[in-house]
Formats: sequence, structure tokens, C-alpha cells
Amino acid sequence: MATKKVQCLLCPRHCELREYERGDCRVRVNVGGELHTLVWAEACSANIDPMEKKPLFHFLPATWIFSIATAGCNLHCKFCQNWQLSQSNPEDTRNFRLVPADVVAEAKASGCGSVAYTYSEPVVFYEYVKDTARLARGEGLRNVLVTAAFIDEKPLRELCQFIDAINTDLKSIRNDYYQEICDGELPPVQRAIKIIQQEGVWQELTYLIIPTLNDTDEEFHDYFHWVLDELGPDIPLHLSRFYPTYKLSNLPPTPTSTLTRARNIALEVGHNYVYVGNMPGHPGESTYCPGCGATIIRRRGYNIGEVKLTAEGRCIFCGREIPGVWR
Amino acid sequence: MSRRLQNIIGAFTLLAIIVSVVALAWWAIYDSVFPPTPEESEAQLTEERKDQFLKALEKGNLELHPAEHWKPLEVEGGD
Repeated sequence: MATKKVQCLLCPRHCELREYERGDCRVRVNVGGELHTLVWAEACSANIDPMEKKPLFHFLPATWIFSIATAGCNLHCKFCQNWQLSQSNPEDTRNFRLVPADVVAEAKASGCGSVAYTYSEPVVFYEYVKDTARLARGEGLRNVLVTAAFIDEKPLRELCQFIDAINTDLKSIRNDYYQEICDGELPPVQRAIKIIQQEGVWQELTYLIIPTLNDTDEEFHDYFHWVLDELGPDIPLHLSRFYPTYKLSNLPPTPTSTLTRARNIALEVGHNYVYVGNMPGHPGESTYCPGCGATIIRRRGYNIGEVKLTAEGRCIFCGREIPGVWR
Repeated sequence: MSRRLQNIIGAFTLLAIIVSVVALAWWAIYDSVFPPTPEESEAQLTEERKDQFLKALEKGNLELHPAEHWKPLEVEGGD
């Protein structure tokens, strides 16, 4: 009796799988000594969202984006907002067959200029993302990934060839946080963030701030300094408010004062674009010109007010170039 | 009932009890005296996983699609 083991090389877990065994992600399986995915075209969520919901603030603002997900994830964050999708087997979610051509057709029919791979973790529906993104780009649509970036270098570089923008979760700057709260590791995520930058894909970072877990001044300084040193001052940072959910329902929502404190530290460290998320009405939702201080994109929740940018992405008051993809 | 018949019934009853106890003990220790080979264990586990997997496929009406980024590992054991 021979056993046909395979090793998945998609993410840093490098799962070794015997026949009919699935990876940690729940969606990749060894059948007959070959690795297969169970979620190609098996969407469990499809919605039309505002771009600001991803969140992407410097990428085609005030446009709609067709957003899809499948079951599965290669992390197991205790605070996951979409745990019903991400921590489920694909046979346990309500799926609908949506092949890449359907996704592109639906996106165009609904007036969306982009497709997002989001909600759960697009790394684990890699082949579906790649096939859809390739087709979408050929049809003139943009592609957006919302990811925790727990992925190996080779597949990431391949995927970047088809992706226009990525919102990456950098959940903490502490490896023990990744190990204890997310069942992951920090260094592969840091490496992936740098690769995305090298590949020239537009990137914004999200930092979900959770009371008592990753909200000290010391951690804020370490986090913002690492980003500044590795990626520069112009990468948009989204400091996101936590709401109690899943396995962390015992913790309170992030206080406004904590988000404001984090934002002030990020600005002091030298970041130019620091946003507060999940807190409608906070002044940190809007974009301010680092040159003249004027409000150049006014936001409230997902609503966009005035946009004071030229077609080339310059501040209309002082002419400073604002980094991003504006059209 | 004659005393002779009672002795025969008693002897058969005792024999049945002894046979049952021995069979039970044998059943209990069989796996440790004659453990399955690693290949047999693996084959049995593979069969169990296959059953579960096929049920999951049917339940979710899922289809297999070739995955990228993997490699075969050295084959263990032999036919």
C-alpha cells in the first residue's frame, strides 16, 4: 500500500497532506496524490460594496466594487468578523456557482469598475482569484485583494501580476500576538507586505486596534516606525475600531480616545495619511493634504463629500501630488 | 431431573462460560498481540478519510479543481 503525500506551498504553513486530507485552510485537499481546491467558483458571498468599505481610500474613490468570497482561511483570528465564512468547511456554507466569466459579467452589469476578493481570505481561494482576475483585467476591470497576506513569496508574486490594489491586514507588530490571537506568524506577513510594495501594487494597511491586546503606545510606536522604515510615509494606514465578536466578545469596543491617540502617534512618527475606521464622524476619516493641510477628500462612513483633487491626483489648493490610483 | 443430567448441564454451562471468557480476552488483546502493520493502519485511515471526504463533496455539491503551488512528497511504503 503506497501513500501519496503532497505538500502545499501556497502559504507558510506548508501543510503535508496524506490522501483525502485537507489543509489547515479547510479547502485544499489531496486526492490521488494531487492537490485540489474545493472552492474554485464556489462563492459563498457576493455583494456590491463601496470602495471605501475595503477599506481603500486612495484607490478609485466613490466607485462600486463587486466583492466575492469563498469559505476557508489559513489564519484563525479570535476576533474574525466573518468567522461564519472563514472558519467553515466549504460543504457547510451556502454556496453558489459563480465561474470567473459570471463574476466579470455581474460586475459589469452592476456598474462596478472593479472586483474584490475579500470577506474571508483570498489566499485560500487562490486559483479562483487568479483566473477571475486575469479575465477581469482583460475586460477592463481592476482587481482588489483584501488579505492578511499570510502567503509564500512565489504565489504572491504571481498573483500580483493581476492585482491592482491590496488592503493588507497588519494585525500587530508582535509575533506573540500573531501566534496567540491569530494562530499565525508575523515574519511571513511582513515579508509579503514588502513584496507587494516591490511588485508595484497599490497597497494600504489596516491595523485593527483591540483593547488590551495591541493598544499600547509602545506597540503603536514600533508598528508605525516599522511601516515608515520599510514602506515610507505615504502608505495609507487604516486604524480600525474593534467591535466584540466571535471569541473576543468579552472585550469592549475600542474607545475613541485610543484610536485618536494611535492616529496622533502615527502622524508624529511621520505618516502622511492616517485614517480612523469603523467610527463614522471621526475627523480621521477624511484625507488632508500634507502640503497645505486642506481637506481634499471629505468622508463620513462610506459617503464621500467633496473631492479637492485634480484629475492627476494633485491637491487643488497647493498642487501637491497625493499618492494613489485616482482614475 | 437425575443427578447425572444435572452434572452434564453444569459441565456444559461451565464450558460455555470458560469459552466466552477466553474469547472475550482474546478479542481484547488481539490487536496488541497481532498489531496491524503500518500499511494496514494507513489503508484503514485512508478509507475512513475517503468516506468522510466523499460525503462532504456530496453534501456541498462541490467540484474538484486542480490547485497550484504544491509538490508531491516521497512515497512511503510499497505495494
